[in-house]
Amino acid sequence: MSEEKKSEVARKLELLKLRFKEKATTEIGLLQGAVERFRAGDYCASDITSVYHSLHRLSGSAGTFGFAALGEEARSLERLVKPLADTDDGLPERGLTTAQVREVVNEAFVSRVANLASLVSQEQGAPKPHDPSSPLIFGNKTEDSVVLIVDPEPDSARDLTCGLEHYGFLVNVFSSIESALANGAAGVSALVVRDELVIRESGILDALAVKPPIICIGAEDSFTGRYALAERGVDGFVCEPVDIPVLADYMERLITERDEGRSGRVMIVDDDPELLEHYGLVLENGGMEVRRVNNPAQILSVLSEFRPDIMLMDVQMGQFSGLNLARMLRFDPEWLGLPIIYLSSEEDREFQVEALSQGGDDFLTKPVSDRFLLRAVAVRCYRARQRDKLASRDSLTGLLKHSLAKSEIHKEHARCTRLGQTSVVAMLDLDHFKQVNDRYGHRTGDLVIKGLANLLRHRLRKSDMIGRYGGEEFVVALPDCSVEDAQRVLQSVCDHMSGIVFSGGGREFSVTLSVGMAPLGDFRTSDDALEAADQALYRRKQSGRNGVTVSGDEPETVGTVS
Amino acid sequence: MAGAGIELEKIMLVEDEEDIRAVAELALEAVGGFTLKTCASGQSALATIAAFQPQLIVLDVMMPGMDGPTTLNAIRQQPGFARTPAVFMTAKVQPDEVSGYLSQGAAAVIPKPFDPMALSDRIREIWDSLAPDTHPD
Repeated sequence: MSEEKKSEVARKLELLKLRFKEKATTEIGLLQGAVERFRAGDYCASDITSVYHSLHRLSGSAGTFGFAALGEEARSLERLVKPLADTDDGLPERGLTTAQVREVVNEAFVSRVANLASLVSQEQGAPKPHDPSSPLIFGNKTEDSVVLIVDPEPDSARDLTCGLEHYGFLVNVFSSIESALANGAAGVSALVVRDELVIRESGILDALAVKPPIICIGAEDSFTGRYALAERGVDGFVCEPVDIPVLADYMERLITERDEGRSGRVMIVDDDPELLEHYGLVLENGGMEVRRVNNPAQILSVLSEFRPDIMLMDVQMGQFSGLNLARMLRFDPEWLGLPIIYLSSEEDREFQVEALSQGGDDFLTKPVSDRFLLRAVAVRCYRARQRDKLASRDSLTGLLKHSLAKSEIHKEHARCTRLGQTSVVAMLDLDHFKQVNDRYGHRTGDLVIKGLANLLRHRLRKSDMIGRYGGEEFVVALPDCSVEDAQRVLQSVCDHMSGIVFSGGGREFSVTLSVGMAPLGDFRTSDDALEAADQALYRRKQSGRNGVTVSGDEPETVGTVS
Repeated sequence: MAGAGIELEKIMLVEDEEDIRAVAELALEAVGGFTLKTCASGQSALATIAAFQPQLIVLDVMMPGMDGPTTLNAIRQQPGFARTPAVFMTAKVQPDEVSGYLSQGAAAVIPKPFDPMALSDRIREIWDSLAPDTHPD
């Protein structure tokens, strides 16, 4: 395995470990509550079995994520509970007395369960050896965003490659579509192809089961030319000379659109386990994330934990009516906007109208074909996401709006303080941006703003938060990231930003970026941390711009700050 | 068929826990270079196994609904999978349990927790140790 690959694997493992840590903390909290209830005599057989399963899960997975002590303690507790839970039919309802339960779940047991939490944090407290050869950050996105350029002309292929690489795309160049797709299109985010090749080799594209977004470049722009490309399934066209920021933005949009259509989150509520499994599999095979709910009574807890884009629900489930459940969900303002789609064999139009007036949004009449189900759900997920995005995202850049960015930083402050992690918050500001607007006009200015937004999306991790704070000002939060790592990554963002060539009014220009950053957890409130980052940004602006200043660092040969 | 110099490429992993699936993906795909298909349940394994045609199946023992041994049993009923080598992964590894799993048609048992960086080596060892005509059937 190459060094690069090794560090990539190490980084991913680290992320998984983090995710596990958070889940385990929640799980232990639930366990604690459960065993305390057992002590009070408040339990049923299935509670005990679920405690047993939960301990089993921890004992099986904790060690894999490096929490050996936690895993062993969970295993030892699991063994103690097993006699209570593990009977032949799995439901030890007969003969379990409170005394028997108390004998196993004694005070020592309860305190050992409580102590599990410290085993999670013990691990976190130990300083991680910092290995500079395995960067924690960088390109979650790059692995996704492989772009194939198919252009037989080496000069223009080279220009495209250089330009796109600044945005963090991973670019490969080929001279024919056939050679580009010799290994299939799996993992390819986009195809940038010279238009004449699409016409010549359209058979190869037709044969693809899953087509990546295809953007054509061409010297001539005409209606017939564009129509011919559209006819062959092309998604976009950029006329030469290619404006790289325009092309990058185009690709970004197509790639995100496609990902969003695919990665919907669907919750299915049905009391028929076979149907539930079947719908679940159909949607999962279509790339969606599915949560199955067999027991309608769990609907609220699953809903708040899973937060689906849409919900599919059977109309009649034993004692529960889907109609009443939908109405009940709407009690909570949080779920007012959740699209609810009924699955029903009821064809009576009157009934359907009645059902829709009670809080549902749509009907799919059973039996429904797999293909239809998948399409119908995918398109609704996509719309639901778009709608949410409109409300929370800045329309120009697709980044979080000011107020949401602030509340995300507030949450991250609470999270990293609780877990004792280092997280970093940074303020970013484009240098002399007003001049760009004045000189080249607002449209070019907007392109620069979008350029930085796309650059950040590519250069930061998926778990990082990026927001547009105002005009040319951005804010990012980097969870579980050392000050040094953050500084390195943000410096590289600055370097790449200054390398992007924009054009306006017949002239080419580039724009630099100043960054001020501060360790979030070192401050009492997230507002204080933001203020410190802003101060650092101010010092950077005073001391020459184009780069990163860390809060608390001595000002670098700054004269008078006035 | 296993062993006898045939390269192991396609592995199916049946595991209900999302975190373990994610680690195993990393361990077997990125580290091991295998082609992996993960399934979150026995049902989903049964639905996809014919299309994927794995050379080796790795199953978690304790899963809600269909557990590992039940899943393996059902897989064995499908045409073409009567002899596909299977490996159980489990946190329960008392010696008598291990022999129980082996008698249920597993080629090996991998104890949990496992080391993500070493999992693919372990799988390759198991694969190489299988002579072509000594499969449990």
